Amino acid sequence: MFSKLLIKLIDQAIVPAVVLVSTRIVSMALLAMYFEIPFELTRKGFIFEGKEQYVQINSYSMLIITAVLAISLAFFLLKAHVFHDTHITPKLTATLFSLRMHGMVQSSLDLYTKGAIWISYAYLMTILTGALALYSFIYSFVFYITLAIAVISSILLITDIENEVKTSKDDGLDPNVTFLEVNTN
Amino acid sequence: MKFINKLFINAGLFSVLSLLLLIPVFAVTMSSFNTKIEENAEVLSAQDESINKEKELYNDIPAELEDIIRKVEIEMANQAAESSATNELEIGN
Repeated sequence: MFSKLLIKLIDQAIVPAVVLVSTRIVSMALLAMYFEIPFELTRKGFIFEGKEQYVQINSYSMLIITAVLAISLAFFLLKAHVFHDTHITPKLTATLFSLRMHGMVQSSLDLYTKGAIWISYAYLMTILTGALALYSFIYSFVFYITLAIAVISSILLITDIENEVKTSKDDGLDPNVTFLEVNTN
Repeated sequence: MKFINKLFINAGLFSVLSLLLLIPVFAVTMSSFNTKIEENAEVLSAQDESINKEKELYNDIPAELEDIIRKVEIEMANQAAESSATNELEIGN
C-alpha cells in the first residue's frame, strides 16, 4: 500500500531538515552576538534594526548553512565513492570487517535516497540564495559558492552512478536472470 | 477503490516529503529588518535636503555639525514613529 521509496525518502529527510533549521537559528543568534547587532525574536522570526545589519548577518548565516551542506555532501560522496557495496575494494572490506566498522559499507538504496535528499537541499538553497542575492538581501558571493557546491556534488554523484552501471555491465551476467536460474553445469 | 486509496496515501506521503524539504527554506525566510524606521529615515533625509536647499540652511555650518544635526533629526523622527505606533496599539486595545 505505502510506497517504500517515499517512506525511505521521508526517513532520510528528517535529519537534514533538523540540522539545517537548527544551524540557521543558532548561527543567526551567535552571529548577532558576535557582531554586537541588536535583534528582536518575534513570531515573524529574527527582526533587525537596519537593512545593512540584516544583510551582513543573513549572508554569514547562509554561508554557515552552505558549509554544513558541503560537509554533509562531502561525507555522503566519500561513502558513495569509497564505501559503496557495489564497488568497494576487497582489501577495504576486509579492513572494515576487522575493525568492526562494516556499518560504513552502504547499499545503493541507502546511498541514492540520501543523495537525492542532500542534492535537493543543495539546489533549494541555490535557488533561495539566488533569489536573496537578486534582491540584495545577501552578498552575491554566497550564491556563487552554493551554486558551485551543488554543481560539483551533482557531478560527483553522477560519476558514482556511472561506476555502478559500469560494474553491473562488467560482471558478465545477464541482469534479467537471478542467481538461482544461472546454469552452473 | 484500492488504486484510489493507494494514490491518496502516496500523494499524502509525497506532500510530507515536500514539506520536509521546504522547512529549511521557510526557516531561512523567517528573518527581516524593520522597514518602517528605514523608510522614515530615508523620507526625512530627502525632505531635509530639499528644505535645506530652499532655505539655504547649513551654509555657514561645518559639514560634521550638519551630519550630527541630521542624525538627531532622524532619531527624533524614529522616536515619533515608535510613539505613534504605540498610540495606535492603545487605541486598538
